[in-house]
Amino acid sequence: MSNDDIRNTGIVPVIENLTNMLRELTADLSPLLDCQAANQPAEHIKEKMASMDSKMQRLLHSINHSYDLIQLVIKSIHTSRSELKKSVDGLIKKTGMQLQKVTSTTEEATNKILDVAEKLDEDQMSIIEILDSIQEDNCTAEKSADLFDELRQKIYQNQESAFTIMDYLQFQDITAQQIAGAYSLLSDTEKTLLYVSEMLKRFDANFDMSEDMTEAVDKKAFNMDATYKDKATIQSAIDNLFESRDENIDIPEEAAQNANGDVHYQASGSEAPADAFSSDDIDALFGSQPANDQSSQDDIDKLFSNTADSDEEKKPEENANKKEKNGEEKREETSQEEIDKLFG
Amino acid sequence: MSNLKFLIVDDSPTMRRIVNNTLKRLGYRDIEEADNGSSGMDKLRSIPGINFIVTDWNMPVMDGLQFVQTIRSSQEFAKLPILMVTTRSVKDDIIEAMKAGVNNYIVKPFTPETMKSKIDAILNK
Repeated sequence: MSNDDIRNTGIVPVIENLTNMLRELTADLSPLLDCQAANQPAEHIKEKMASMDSKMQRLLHSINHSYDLIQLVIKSIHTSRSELKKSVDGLIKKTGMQLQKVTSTTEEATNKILDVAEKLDEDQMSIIEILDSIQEDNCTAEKSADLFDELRQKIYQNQESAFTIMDYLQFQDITAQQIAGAYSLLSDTEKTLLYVSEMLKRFDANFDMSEDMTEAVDKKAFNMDATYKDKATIQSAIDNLFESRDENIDIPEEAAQNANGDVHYQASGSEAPADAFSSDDIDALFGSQPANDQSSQDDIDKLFSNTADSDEEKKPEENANKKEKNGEEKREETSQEEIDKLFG
Repeated sequence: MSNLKFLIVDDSPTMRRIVNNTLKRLGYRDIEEADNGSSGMDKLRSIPGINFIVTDWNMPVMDGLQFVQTIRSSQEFAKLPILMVTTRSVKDDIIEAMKAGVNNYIVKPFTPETMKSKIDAILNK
């Protein structure tokens, strides 16, 4: 049985094959141990021994292959553990932080809307009081005119409050993008789990798992870094940028943004990594091991050629991701004032 | 002011409604909407007279940047004023938008005053 046969059949058939070979050898050995064997001609016994020797050679060969396979299984489990650890430490942690952003954005917007709603309620009450006083008191024409002016003022204020609430409702678009970001991270986690699953199922011939994944995420459809912060300073810098069209204008970073977390995936737009983990990452993880372990990683990559191919396709995104992780492509926030200068 | 016909392109119905309301508050009444760059192009081709575009960046199918590039590379619509309204506030993104041909740029969440000043700035150029 070749290495490829072993890989294709899975670990259980290999062990079964070993068991059968040992059983055959035992069956061959039994008559020789029987006292009747003594009556057999020496030539016959010699033939039997030669046959057994050949079988034992094959058995040894199979055991060696089994050893290789078990090594691969151990390596795969090791890699799987690393992948899962990265998922937990990176993606899941980042997803949690992303959802935290949604909570704080919702809370901030709700409080702002509540403030305006409370003010609206107060103003409505004062409008009723003014109306009551017009009705109850015998107002002079001059006093009535003042009260009507006051009423008009209050009504305009309330209209403005209604508009303000409308403006604050922009938080819905921002939280929708933040949630899309969280979904994207969960989707990356799912990819990692499927990768691990794919890696392990190759050793089990009977393993059958649905290949269905959740719907693909269109990463250009959202900006995971969307925030509900007051953008006045940033807008001011953007304005400067658009006014002057000077690309060297200094743009302030949005302080709260990207401040947390040790793993940052730029999921906004097309620059988002489609796959957070590559075989290069895995190699790096095993980098401290002896050289022969590195070639074993190649064996694993060859073994999972499908995965290796897809990893190859994703190389540019991975490289972008790595650069970002290394801080080579630090992206700065820009204020509206600076944008305005740039656009003139 | 009244001869302006706007096209709002945003995948979020809420944002389209908010931008629509803001424009109406500023006195503009003639407003069309599309939910991504591709349907925005369809609207431009099928509805005559659109002469001002307000577009988001992050959208499915065709995002705002691709939309701007498509408009700028077309003969018919190349000169249309485009105001981008987006959550993206990273300098590289803004410069990319500017190079693509965006006339002005607003970061969400925005105020009606900001919207007004950017429309005025584009119209007065």
